[in-house]
Order: sequence, then C-alpha cells, then structure tokens
Amino acid sequence: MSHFDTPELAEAAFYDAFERADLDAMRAVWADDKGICCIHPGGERLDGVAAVMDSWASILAGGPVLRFRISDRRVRVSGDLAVHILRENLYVEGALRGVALATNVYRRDESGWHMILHHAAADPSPPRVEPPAPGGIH
Amino acid sequence: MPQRYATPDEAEAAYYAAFQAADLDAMMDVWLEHPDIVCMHPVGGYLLRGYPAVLEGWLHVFARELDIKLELKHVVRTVTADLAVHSGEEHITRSGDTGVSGIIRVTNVYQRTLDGWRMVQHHASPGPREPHVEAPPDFLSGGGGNRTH
Repeated sequence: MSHFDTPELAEAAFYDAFERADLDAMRAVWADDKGICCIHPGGERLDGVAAVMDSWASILAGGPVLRFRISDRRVRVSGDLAVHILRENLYVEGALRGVALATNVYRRDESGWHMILHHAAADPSPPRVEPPAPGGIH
Repeated sequence: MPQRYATPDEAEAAYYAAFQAADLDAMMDVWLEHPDIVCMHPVGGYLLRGYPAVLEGWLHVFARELDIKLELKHVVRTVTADLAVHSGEEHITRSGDTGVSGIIRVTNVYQRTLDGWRMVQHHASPGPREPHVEAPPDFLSGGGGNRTH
C-alpha cells in the first residue's frame, strides 16, 4: 500500500489515478477498510472495498479521458481525520465538460493517509466564468 | 442562548428536527457561526459559504411549503476528538405518499467547539432515481406484456 504523508498527497494521487485510469494506483489511495464509502455523480452509493473498487474498475475501463482542475478547495483537519470540499472541473480534450462538487475524506493510519469517503455530485450551479483549461493550451 | 450539543448525533438530531419543523432559528443554532461553514443543497442550490449565505439558503428552503417526513438512514460515522463525518441517506416522504418519495445522499460534518458540537458542512445530492423499486426477477423475461393488474 502506498504511503501518503499528507491528505493533500493522497488527494493528488486520487486525481492522478483517475486521470491516468490506473486502477492499481486508485486502489492504493483508498483505505483497505470495509467502512469506506463512495458516491458517484448519479447517486449510486458503494460501501466497502470490493464494491468501491468494482465501480472504479468500470469507470477507469473507459481509459484516460478526463482531466481535472480542482478549485475552491477547503480543508479541515483534526488529528487523524481530514475533510476536503472542492469543485472538480472536468475537461475532455481541453474543453470543460462538467463541474462536480466533491467531499473527500481522508484518515491517517499506521501506513499514512488514505481516502475513506468520496462524495461527488454535479454542481447544481457551477460558476459562470470558466476556469482555464489545464495543460497549457495555447 | 444557543443550546449545547454534547455529541455529533445530538447536533444531527437537532438539525433534522429543525429541518422538519422548518424552524430557521433552531436550524441556524445547529450551524457553527463562522465564515468557513459550507452548505450544498441537492437541487437548484449553490455552494453556500459562511453563516449569512447558509442562513439565506435555509430561508429559501423554508419559504416553500415543506410537508415532508425526513429520516436519516444507513449512516457511516467517522469521528475524532474534534471532527465528525456522517454520510448517509435522507429518506424523504411527502405528505400523502405511502412509501419513500425520494432519497438524498448526504455527508454532514460536525466540529466540536467550546460550546458543543456544531454543523460545519452539509453536502446533499440527489440519490438514484428509483432507489428501492426493484423489478421482480421475471419482470423483464415474462414476455407477452402480462400485467398483474
């Protein structure tokens, strides 16, 4: 299991695994715990490692299609628990294709910080000004 | 004077009691009075930050007639000394409906303050369209367009 020294590193690894469609890297971000929970846009809720990783296997089977730009991040940390809320600005081929609001929760155990909850849903009112696309588009 | 909530569960119970009663004062008593609080309503809402914006959001919600029953189910709780995360399902039943009318996915975050536990974050989003309506096993393979009624 990968060791993330901070919740920020675990979060960076989460979005990196998502962008690269790397299921092993995605698995390494999550805590190996039956209490983990994942809510994808669309409202489906998955509990436990098997269900959560099955869902990522289906999603990532689509290949590396999405690029993320994270904005409006707010972090709360108390001891071994960190709660991040943020906007996921989703790009496909350089064009903004959607905005989601996400709550990401991380917990520290003996092997570092790992994700225990990802709750993502479409932003009902994304900002009107589109942030710049990632990846240095000219 | 603000009430004290000795546990995250007490704050959560007060939150849902205030919601169901459409009691703005009771609702805002549950929230921490702080610029960093965040509230995301499931539909037609905004990412509301800070006490005044969150208050205004609840004013709008309570301005509509809310004749609903609200139950929080299947809650997964994670708690440390000062922070608690509860993720669950709000089962909403509208007046007159015999079963659950809708499900909202919710992640609630509470923080312990000198004055007890207060809500600091509420992220609500629509659940699946037909959460508990499962077709019987032979529903699709039955053929012939048979209907039981």
